[in-house]
Amino acid sequence: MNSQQLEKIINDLTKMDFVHARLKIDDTEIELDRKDISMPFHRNDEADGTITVNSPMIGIFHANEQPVKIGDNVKAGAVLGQIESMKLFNELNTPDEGNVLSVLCQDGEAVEYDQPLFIIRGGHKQDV
Amino acid sequence: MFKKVLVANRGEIACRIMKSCQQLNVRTVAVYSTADKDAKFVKMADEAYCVGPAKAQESYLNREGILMAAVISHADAVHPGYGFLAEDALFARMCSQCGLTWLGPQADLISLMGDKAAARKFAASRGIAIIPGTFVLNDPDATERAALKIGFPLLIKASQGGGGKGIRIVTSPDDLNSQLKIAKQETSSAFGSTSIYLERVLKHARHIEVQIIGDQNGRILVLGDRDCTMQVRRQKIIEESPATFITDAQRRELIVTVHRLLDGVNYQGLGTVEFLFSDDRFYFLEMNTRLQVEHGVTETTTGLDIVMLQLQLASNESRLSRQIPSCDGVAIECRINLTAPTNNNQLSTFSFPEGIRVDTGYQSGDNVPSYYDALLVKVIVNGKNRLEAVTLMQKALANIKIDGVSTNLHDLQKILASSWYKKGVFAVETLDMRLEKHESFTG
Repeated sequence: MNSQQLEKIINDLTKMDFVHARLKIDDTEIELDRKDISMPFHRNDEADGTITVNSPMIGIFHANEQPVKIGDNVKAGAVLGQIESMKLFNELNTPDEGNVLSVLCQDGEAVEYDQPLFIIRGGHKQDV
Repeated sequence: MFKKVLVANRGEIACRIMKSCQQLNVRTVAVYSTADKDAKFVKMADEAYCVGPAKAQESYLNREGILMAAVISHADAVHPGYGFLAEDALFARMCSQCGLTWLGPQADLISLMGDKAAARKFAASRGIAIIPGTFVLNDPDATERAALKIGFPLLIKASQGGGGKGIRIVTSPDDLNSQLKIAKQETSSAFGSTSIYLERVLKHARHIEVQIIGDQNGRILVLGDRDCTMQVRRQKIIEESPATFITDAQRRELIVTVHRLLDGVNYQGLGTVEFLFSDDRFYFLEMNTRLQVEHGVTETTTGLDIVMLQLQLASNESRLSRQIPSCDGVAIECRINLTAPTNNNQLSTFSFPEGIRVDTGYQSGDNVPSYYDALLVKVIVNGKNRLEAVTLMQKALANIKIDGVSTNLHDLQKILASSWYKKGVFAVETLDMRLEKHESFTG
């Protein structure tokens, strides 16, 4: 496969809705990863290196048994709390590891879609 | 009366519903998408909750999110407006299960009328004339036989369509199979069902509809009729109340027909029964189980606030009169739509003359989101007779100033100025035919 063909495939693929794709054509294998843009509001990367974690839905925020506090270090994917919507509990995960700068919601509080809930100082970003 | 009503809609109709709530001292809850965070209806509400992103599927069609807003705000009733979840039987059922009053008919009636083929069958079973055609067809041979019997041109309609959506026209027997294939593909992707039926194309038909309301006991009252014949690609753009085209005897026939359709079915809330009027006969077209865009013309001629009436009936605070409201003068509504939405639809000027009814969800300076329908504003005038109403509408349109976006305002002006419109000589296909032949609307 030449670079022109490759470019065409990638261009065609960008028009499709995917986060991860793996293609195998003859001997050529391409793997593509893309940021999940379907939910663009869950994480806002601020210019100062902080990450704001927003609510992915309207619901009631439930803190963990051991609530996340200011100063806590969290790993990527760690559970920050639960959002209850119509009796279903949905985990709120942190998109990146870091240090909790602010907790903007309280246990039992109603939260809207896109409402900022936590501010985290990204671990990686600080090192750079 | 209800304490708090959640309005599960956006734009002008959300504002319209909230206005009636405010007059009854009922608190209002808005639900909105991120694209509407600065919208007029959000500011107008006592409380507002963001329920999802711009995409309607995840916000205005997000049943769980909207119900959650109702639970959080302790609303006791839900008004769905039109479009979005207004004819969603599942959502109506979910509201009831959450202890909320659904301001509309019961879920099973929504399902029945939402399935256009089933609604046709139901109307026929009640002795009402339906447009010659078939019920749902599955067998290709039967479809072909039925098509030849109906004659051409004919329409292929999706059972789950309605409101002018999911319709294909077949002009000759040669096109039948190819059009059927396309129709089935379209209906399957748009409505998740492939059930279709056939209907004859009625020539020179007028679109006449009847506004009704049902009380909590399902007693029906006719509130008036409308002529909504002026359509572009099956979307209404000018509506009149009453339908001045029909005689008093025909109006009485229409009222009897509507009662024959709905008496004893326990219909609650607002609804519209639509007919095509061709060769001096009314044919049942479909029923919309909700408040309609063009309800304002009926309000103008009857002096009623039908949303207020609906709220009063649903909360058992008022009794339905036995008398059809008297109709005073003639009202005309024009829908001003965005014609070429771009990424930036900012209304740099958006002003209207005094003395007319203006229903809009926007104000000067607003950016119109391109995610939703194209309706910018509805303007309504009221004259002593049709000709006076036409003149008043012409004057109103001339004094409307909208800048920053492209609209159909100029087309509306041309239609209102034409002699054929003034004389009332038009049918549902008139505007499309004039557009097709590149004829101007004037003349």
